[in-house]
Amino acid sequence: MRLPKPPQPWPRDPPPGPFRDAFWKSPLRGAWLTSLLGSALLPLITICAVTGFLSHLAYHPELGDNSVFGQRGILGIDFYWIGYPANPAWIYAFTQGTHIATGLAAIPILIAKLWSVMPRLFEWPPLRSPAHSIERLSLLMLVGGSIFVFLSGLWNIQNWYPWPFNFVASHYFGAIIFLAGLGFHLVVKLPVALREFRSRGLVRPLRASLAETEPERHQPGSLAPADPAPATISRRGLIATIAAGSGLAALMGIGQSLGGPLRDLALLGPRGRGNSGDGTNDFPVNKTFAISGIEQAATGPGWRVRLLGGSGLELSREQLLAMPQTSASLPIACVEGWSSTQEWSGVRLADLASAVGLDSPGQTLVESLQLEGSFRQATLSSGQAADSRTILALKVNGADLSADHGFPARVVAPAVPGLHCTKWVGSISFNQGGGDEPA
Amino acid sequence: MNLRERYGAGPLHLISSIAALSIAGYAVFEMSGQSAPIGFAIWFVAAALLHDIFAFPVYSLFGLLAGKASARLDTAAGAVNYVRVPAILSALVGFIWFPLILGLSSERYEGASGHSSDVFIGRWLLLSAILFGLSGLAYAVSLRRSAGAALSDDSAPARRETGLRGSNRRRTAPVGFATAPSSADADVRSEATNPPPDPE
Repeated sequence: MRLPKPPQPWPRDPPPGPFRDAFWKSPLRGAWLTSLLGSALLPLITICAVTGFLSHLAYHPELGDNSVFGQRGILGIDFYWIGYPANPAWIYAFTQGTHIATGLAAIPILIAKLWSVMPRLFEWPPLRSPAHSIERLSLLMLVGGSIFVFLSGLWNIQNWYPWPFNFVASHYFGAIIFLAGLGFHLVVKLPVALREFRSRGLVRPLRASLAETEPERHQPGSLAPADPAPATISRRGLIATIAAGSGLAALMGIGQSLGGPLRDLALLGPRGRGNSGDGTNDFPVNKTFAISGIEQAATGPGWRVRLLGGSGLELSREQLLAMPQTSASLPIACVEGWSSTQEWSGVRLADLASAVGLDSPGQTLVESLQLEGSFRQATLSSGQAADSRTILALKVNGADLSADHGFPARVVAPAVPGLHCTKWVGSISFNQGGGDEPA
Repeated sequence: MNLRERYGAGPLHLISSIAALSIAGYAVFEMSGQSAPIGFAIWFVAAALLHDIFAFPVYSLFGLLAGKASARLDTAAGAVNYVRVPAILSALVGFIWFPLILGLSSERYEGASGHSSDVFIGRWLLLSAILFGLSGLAYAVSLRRSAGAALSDDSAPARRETGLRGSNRRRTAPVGFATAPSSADADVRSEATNPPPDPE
């Protein structure tokens, strides 16, 4: 007697439309093309992720109120002992410029890769085994994560926040979900890609002209089309188009980062322009005086910087200018991926600490005259504050700071994110919380 | 029943899937303590669908229309790319910077940078014009070149690779996916539509 077959969860034949192999016509789709796109994305995403986490470290979230989203590290473990180097001074401008440029460059390739695997969304049966179901769930992490992280970053650099949550926290934890999905995806798919490259060659299919372009061989369940349309673009044509898009996107990031005449190349970059017509102060800002909420009078002749700690002191701008002046050529490097190196001059933080009778500044809290905003204050590590290039700047390129650049005085420091180079400084508190944190 | 039959894959797959889900679980836990965790979850899932149910149908439709228009105009194979490539690049730049181009963040952007975002739509149109202009120039050059080739090469009057309407006769061995040796006497027409069997 034959046993009845167990009930199948899905009808054996796929529903019509995209669930059928014959629906997908592009002759270029296939495992080799997807492998190539994935291989192009992997280094870009790796660099983008590493520089992203480095940026998180550069903010010293373990100090004072620096962290934007609470104090917990990975599983409550403090991993900030890694620290962030202060040399060379442009290191943060470099890592963060790289973060934004690689992120921009990855977007066209990511779109192409999503296009290339489109038939997979409709594979039939939709769930075959526990392993297959977990793979599909991990695609939510991978696809949702990648699009979420790229769009949130992209819209943050354009000051557009159509969502209700904190950008920093969602970009950071969204990235962790995405990277977890990516790690699993690599375990599953890297062998497939390597097999494709072994059998097809890494670039051999790119040698074919349009007339020579053949579809990849279709097998049941493969990405290659069962019923391909004639090719209308060669593989190298497609790859060259994606590469051009990638280069065009990256150029706008790189132009904003390298500055000088290259800044004009960032045609659509948010900081493809300087700040004003005034030559000495003509470089970008992240916040204008107009929206700082500071009264004009507060930055006038009555302004004093309050030094807290040691014997304490209040100094006017004239008194600061009468102290020994230090010059430093330092970049203002924004987390949004633009930077600009200028010649600053003012008084060393170390000298201000001496003025109140301290040997060294120690961990230093700098507060702005602003009453609100996450970055109205920043805590510098003792290493950052004691660096001989860390100054309370009064002038830039030989002229007084403009209002937008932080007049009467602002902090500049080597390898410190621009948001921690506090503008419109109101007070500096030395020796905040011991000296046991990393330099 | 072993693991492979029961689970559907080997132990490395199982271990790495558990690791990945655990790490993601940690991040979800952290986000649950942040502001608007539900909003985050909605945006995250919406992001996963954004390409597949919104972007893909839109750009596929444009692709199909371009193909139809190209067929109606009876252009040579590949000529459509002189429109398609600059259109893709222009759309890409437009997509990347649309919040600035459309002025969606104009107030915030002006407060942050001190500049108006009004310039971006003009810059995008300018860049698009340059891209289409360069592509048109390339097309004109290819037309001229193939017309020249047709005049000087009487033995192959139909061979026009990119310019005027011409055949897609292959003159060299296929590269990459069709690995069978091509015979000079073979009917290249039928070979083009029926790829030779893969020797594997």
